[in-house]
Amino acid sequence: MPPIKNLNDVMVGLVLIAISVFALVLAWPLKPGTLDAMGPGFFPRSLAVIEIGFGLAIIAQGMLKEGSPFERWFPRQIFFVLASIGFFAATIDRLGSVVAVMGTVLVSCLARRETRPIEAVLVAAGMAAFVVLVFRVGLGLPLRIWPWGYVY
Amino acid sequence: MPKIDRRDALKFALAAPVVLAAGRLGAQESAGAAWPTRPVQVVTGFGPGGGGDIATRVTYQAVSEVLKQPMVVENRTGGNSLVAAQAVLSLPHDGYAFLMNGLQQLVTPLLMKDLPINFEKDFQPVTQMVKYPETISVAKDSQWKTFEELMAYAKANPDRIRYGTSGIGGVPHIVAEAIQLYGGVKFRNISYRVAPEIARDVVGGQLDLAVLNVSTLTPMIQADKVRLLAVGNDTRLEQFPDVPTLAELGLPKANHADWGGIFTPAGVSADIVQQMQAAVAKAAKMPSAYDKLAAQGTIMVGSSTADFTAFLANWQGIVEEVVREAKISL
Amino acid sequence: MDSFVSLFHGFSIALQPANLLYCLIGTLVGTLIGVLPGIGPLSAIAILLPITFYLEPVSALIMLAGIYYGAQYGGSTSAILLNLPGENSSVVTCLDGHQMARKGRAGPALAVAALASLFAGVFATLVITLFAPPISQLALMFGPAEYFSLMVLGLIAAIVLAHGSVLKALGMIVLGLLLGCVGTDVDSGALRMAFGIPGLFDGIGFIPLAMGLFGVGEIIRNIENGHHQSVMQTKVRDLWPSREDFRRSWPAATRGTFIGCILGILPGGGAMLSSFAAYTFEKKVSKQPERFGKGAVEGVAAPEAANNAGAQTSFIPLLTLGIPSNALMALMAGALLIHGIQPGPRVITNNPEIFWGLIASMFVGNLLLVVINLPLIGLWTQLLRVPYHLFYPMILVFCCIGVFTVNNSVLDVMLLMVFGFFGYMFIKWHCEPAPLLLAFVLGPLMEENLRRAMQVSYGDPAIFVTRPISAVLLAVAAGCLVLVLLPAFRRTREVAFQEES
Repeated sequence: MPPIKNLNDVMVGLVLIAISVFALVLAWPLKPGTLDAMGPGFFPRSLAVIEIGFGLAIIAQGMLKEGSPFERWFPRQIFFVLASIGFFAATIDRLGSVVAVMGTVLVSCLARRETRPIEAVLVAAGMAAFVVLVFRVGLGLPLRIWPWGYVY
Repeated sequence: MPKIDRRDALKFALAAPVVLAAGRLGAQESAGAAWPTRPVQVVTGFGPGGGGDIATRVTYQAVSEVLKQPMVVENRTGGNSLVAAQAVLSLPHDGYAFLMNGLQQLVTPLLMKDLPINFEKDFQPVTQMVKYPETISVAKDSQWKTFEELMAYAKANPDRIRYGTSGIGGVPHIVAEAIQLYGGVKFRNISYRVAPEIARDVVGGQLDLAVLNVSTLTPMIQADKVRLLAVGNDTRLEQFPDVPTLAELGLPKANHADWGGIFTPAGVSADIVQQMQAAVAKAAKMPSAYDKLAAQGTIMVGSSTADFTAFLANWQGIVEEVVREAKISL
Repeated sequence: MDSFVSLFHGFSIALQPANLLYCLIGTLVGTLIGVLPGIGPLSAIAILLPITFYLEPVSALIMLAGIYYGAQYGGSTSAILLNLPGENSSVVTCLDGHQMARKGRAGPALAVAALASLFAGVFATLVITLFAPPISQLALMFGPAEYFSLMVLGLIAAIVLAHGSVLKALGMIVLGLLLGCVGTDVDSGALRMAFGIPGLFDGIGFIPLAMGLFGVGEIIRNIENGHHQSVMQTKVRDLWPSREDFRRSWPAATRGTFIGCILGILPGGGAMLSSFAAYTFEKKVSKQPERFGKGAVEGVAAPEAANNAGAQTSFIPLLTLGIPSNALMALMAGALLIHGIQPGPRVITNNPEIFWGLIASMFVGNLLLVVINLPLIGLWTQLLRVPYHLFYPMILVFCCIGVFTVNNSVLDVMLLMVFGFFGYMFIKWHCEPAPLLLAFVLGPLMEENLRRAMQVSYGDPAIFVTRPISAVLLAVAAGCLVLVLLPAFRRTREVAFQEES
């Protein structure tokens, strides 16, 4: 086994292959059809196969060709930023925009240890007010403001 | 709760530009009537700007004047109207949410398996809102001058005539399938995402035949780029007195006009259903609304709930037969 | 010179105080909507459509059109400042515009975007005035085969967008095409890779994908360690473009305008293709293509000009043929229909006040936009002074609310989360998301038209070369491919030779 020269490329190749195998499995039941009447499966299947080919080629490139160094990942930042979006998704429908927006700001602030709580709370309150004023009052979008009451 | 209702309604009326229009009406509180005391939502699976959307908006503009409450039309496209239907069912079943739908209401359950909702049981019909006559047309320079010539060619050359449809299981598609089924011919079906592209490709010579709602075809008729061979409607159209209906041409079972109707979740009181039906019927008689839609070939109906229920039962039979005989499947 | 007499008549309509006011409201609302990520002109116009019941048809159209091009305009602001592409046409602006902002040159980037748009807007208005009816025929000459070939050309061009490995760009393109397959198959109605989730029946939304890959990934990257925190705090150096900037942007904006005018007329994907095409073209003709992606001012001027020109010429097929070229034009058609006016060839003869009033208002609106936006540049750049550790939560909120309001869909917000992770992953592994996005948008169109073309031709692939326009497009695509692959191939060989020796 030759040493990997560019881990970035190898990882990209692996992910692309994983995604295309998954897509191939999902697209398998779809009919490929014929040339003058292509079925729904034709495009996804061919693409998945082509993509596996590209994935392999990218891995090969990573084995043979020097590239930029592999960078460290930061789990805390990844987790809290994504979690703040998840919080928004979980609350916007049922609990309304005030809860969702404030929660998103507070959760995302956890991604950075140095942020002072008072700053976070002020930004959260400010954003909640801004969102309600601009999106609900100004643009009239059907957004729930509080956890109670009707949207319209 | 009523306190919150009013407060929210008031906020809305003060705030949203959507109801700038309705703001004028909002001032006059609905006198005595228990319904509607706040804005009513009408959800449709038709995309903004299309024929179904415009018909809904024009109709409900008039309805909001009748009921003295804002009517908020919302587009939730996707899944052959499934997304819109689900959106309506997810709201409280209190008479403040309605669904505007077409033949998809009946066809979607026939074509899609494992639906999360039951269109027939979960909804009750309110009224037929509009109808749109169908047109069968070819390009102006086409070799076929009449419907008979077209059918004669199609009989001799199966699978040669290319026609476009948008929306599997929509009325244009069912009409086209019925022409093939009962006319004993076979066309080549080419699917499109939106109807205006079909009109474009017929004129551009990519397609031989178009089955479209009259409103979609009007620009091309005005530009004198297409020839009408037949219409799908109970009578000939006023604008085209020389064009025969499909029934006159010997295909009564293919002679259908497209339609759009109003539904509400099962369990909403008969009183509210009746009030909404009456409001749509009244709106259909307002020239401000009727003339606007008539200009593009859409006819406002506002039939009684009993008539609409019978109309749906009749259509159920038609689509079941066509879907079964023509072996339409997804 | 009849057209100019009519245009003059148009100005007398557009300059009436009421219409001027609606034009101003439209451009203001449009700018605001464009700046806010997520909610785009489409939802804004859908929301405002009912109001137009109460306006004169021409006022209604002037206001809605103002929102449309105002939003195109505002979209570039958030793309440059925050790396958030609010709509598909501003994806390209992110590439070099945001890099300029990172170097403290947000002011010049915004100013160049504004001036290029103005130039393109004015020029496109003249094009519509003089040539609307004849060039509308172009839309009729494009059938399935031509569209397929155009999409192929667009995808080949996407490789040029990336400045890393060609192979990885190809991988991203195919991934984009695969993602574009999700949802209901137009031809058969079958569901593909949708996991039975109704929210995916119409496919993955563009907004969560674009904002996740560009915006969210970049945020995580920026806060991950202390070094990156000063990223956005580089001193805002200058507000106004330098003489050098002007020298570089004028030719780019001119070429972009031409590309935009032509592609805007073609239904479907025209506006987005035009900004990509203009960028690619600039990169190809540039003497220093290596500057692109690192804050080249041409990389802002060309796509901004193209996208604004395309936005205006996309009215041509609607007003002359009654064919809406995209979802937004379908809404405009709706606005006309609501007033009982059938969009199509009779608009010019039966309702000249609408046709010419609208065109003249575009002229006025573009001027208004510059007047509104130039003073705002100072304000926007001030925004960048907010400490990043307080700024990024705000951007996240905008992403979430923007994505949510497009369809009121919680699923879309969850997709934002997923694609945010992918965005971070791609940054870490040096993959560029722009080709993926282009492929995602073009893929479904490409597939549909391929299948349609094969059905129309009874299964004969020769249709792509026997139809002249299609053949020319494919030849150009092949030429591009050779141009792109040759240097890469040469480099690989050099590397291989070096290793051998």
